[in-house]
Amino acid sequence: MYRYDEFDHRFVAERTAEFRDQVKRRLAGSLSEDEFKPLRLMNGLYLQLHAYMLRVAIPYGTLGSRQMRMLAHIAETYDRGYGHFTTRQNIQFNWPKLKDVPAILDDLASVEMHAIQTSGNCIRNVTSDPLSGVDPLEIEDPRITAELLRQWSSLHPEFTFLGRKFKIAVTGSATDRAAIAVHDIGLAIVRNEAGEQGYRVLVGGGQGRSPFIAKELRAFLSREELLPYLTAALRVYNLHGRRDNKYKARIKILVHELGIEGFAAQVEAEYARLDADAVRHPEEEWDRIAAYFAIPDLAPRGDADASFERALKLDPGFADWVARNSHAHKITGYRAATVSLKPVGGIPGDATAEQMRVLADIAEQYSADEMRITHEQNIVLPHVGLGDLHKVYRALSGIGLDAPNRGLVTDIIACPGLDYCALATARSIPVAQRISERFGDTQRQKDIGPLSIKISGCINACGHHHVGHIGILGIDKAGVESYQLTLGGEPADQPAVGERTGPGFSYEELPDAIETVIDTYIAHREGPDETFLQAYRRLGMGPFKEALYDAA
Amino acid sequence: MPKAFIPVVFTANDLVEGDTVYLGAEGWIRDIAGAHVAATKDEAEILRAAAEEGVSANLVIGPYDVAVTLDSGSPVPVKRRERIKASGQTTMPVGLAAQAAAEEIRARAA
Repeated sequence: MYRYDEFDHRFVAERTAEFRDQVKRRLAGSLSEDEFKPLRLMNGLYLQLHAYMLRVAIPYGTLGSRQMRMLAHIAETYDRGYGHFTTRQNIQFNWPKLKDVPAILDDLASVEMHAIQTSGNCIRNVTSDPLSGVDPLEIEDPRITAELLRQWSSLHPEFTFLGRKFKIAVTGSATDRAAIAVHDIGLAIVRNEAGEQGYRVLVGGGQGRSPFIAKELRAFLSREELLPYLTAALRVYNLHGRRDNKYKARIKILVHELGIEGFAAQVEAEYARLDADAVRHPEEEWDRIAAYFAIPDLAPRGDADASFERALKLDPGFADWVARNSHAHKITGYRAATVSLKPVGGIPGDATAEQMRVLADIAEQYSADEMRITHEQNIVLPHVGLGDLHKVYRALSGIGLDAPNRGLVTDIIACPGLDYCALATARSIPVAQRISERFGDTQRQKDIGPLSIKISGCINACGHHHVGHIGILGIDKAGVESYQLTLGGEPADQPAVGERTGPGFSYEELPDAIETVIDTYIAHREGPDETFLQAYRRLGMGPFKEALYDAA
Repeated sequence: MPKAFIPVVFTANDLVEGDTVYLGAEGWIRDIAGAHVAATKDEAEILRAAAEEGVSANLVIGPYDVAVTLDSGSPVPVKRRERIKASGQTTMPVGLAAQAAAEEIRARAA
């Protein structure tokens, strides 16, 4: 894991001291709310429906046990005993008091964490693959690139006040688990025909009220070109992106309006003009960062383990969990395990302080002290020995986090929605809970197979509904919640924006409507091996529309 | 015919604590039951001015009016969003309910 050097420490300490002073001045009345708001936002502090909300950065979703324990401490000491892990691989605290925020930031700094650039029109937390450094098919750990970008973009003098927020995601594997096609810039680590390693660069993806799948800006970019080239791309956006209309200010609109060829031509022209040597990262800095992401020293293990095999036979719940929630590992005798934060009927992404502490203990004992937050609002234990998997599973059962549902119908992404968010127009969490209860039976989930449901409580699409196999968008229709369904969205495998089924459904009708969609899939699939997405792509909207609207 | 005026109360968030507050007869309070209800447009303007004073006095942030109906004299917000805000409750059990949930989890772990 990356560790702060003296510059990182000083930077965060200075920033915390600065914010402490700003809070003091705000409380004394010498800063008005209008003056204070941009300052607090640059430090991750929002005002939501009920209270302030503090969004803490978890760089590329990676954190260690001492950091998780500190999050638990903050939840208990300054909040209401829980936190919410987000689709940006961050954590949000929903109830901090303004007077306590400087102390919270001090606590975070003591474990090398902060809330800088988790809001504002700047480059946000760079997200990445939760199986970084684990996936046997990975070309390179994408967190090295993500950390380089974090350092480059932190307090970047030119890109701190962009036209709008800017999100970058990096993947190092052929299987994209970072949804790079729905980011402002998506980077895929690739090898070219000559065998050289570099990046495929995507640009202009995003969700919100105008969803776009990113387009290819460069098929291949060498590593040493990365920072100069991104500087050129950001510069073109910063100069030409709209600032007159918040809803047209993201880079996706600029790319859409110029066309990818037009946008790329401007980036190449800027790239040819700028002083690349002044921006390029020093090779020794790359090496310094890369060393932090070397695979931890894992004790050698055999490729089979008798106790593991026995537990698989004796504990069917464990067998389900291993089949669904564990992943192949680069090192023989190890697996990565997804801890589902989606217990049946639970709140997607929420964890209590108690659960965080137990997770920290499990990670310390069984996963080389490391955890990853996934953009699907789950937690990965990246390095678990085969012989320890059952112990991990039992420990997770004790805190209610043993659901064997990764990638299944109850592994729902949901934004906070009307229950917390000042922007929301409809409830999101209770919708997720009701759907989760409806389909909670493990066997039924297995029968349905891989299927993602993603729920947003407003058009801003924080719940990624555009790329859900079934997407749900809650809107306010003359004072009543109405939920529109989209089908066929997908963030990674041939990325696509979902298509609307037709008129929306009421809060009460919604679980039945979802069941109708799923029953229609089951009735029409060619066999259990044809997934919902495959079936939808083969069948199109027709049968689903008919089942949803014609029967009535 | 002009549209009938819907009664309003004024809400904001407490500057220091962030909590939801309502403008009552004695200042800013936590419980909507004690909120001052403006029954006419003119009364609403007077309340709005009083709410803005809360901003300049550094007590609250972001005041705005909330349409309400009266249930045995107590104001109840018309919109679901404001009913959720007034309840102070979200989907996660908080306070004593959270403690009970945590104890249940601990009991399962034991």
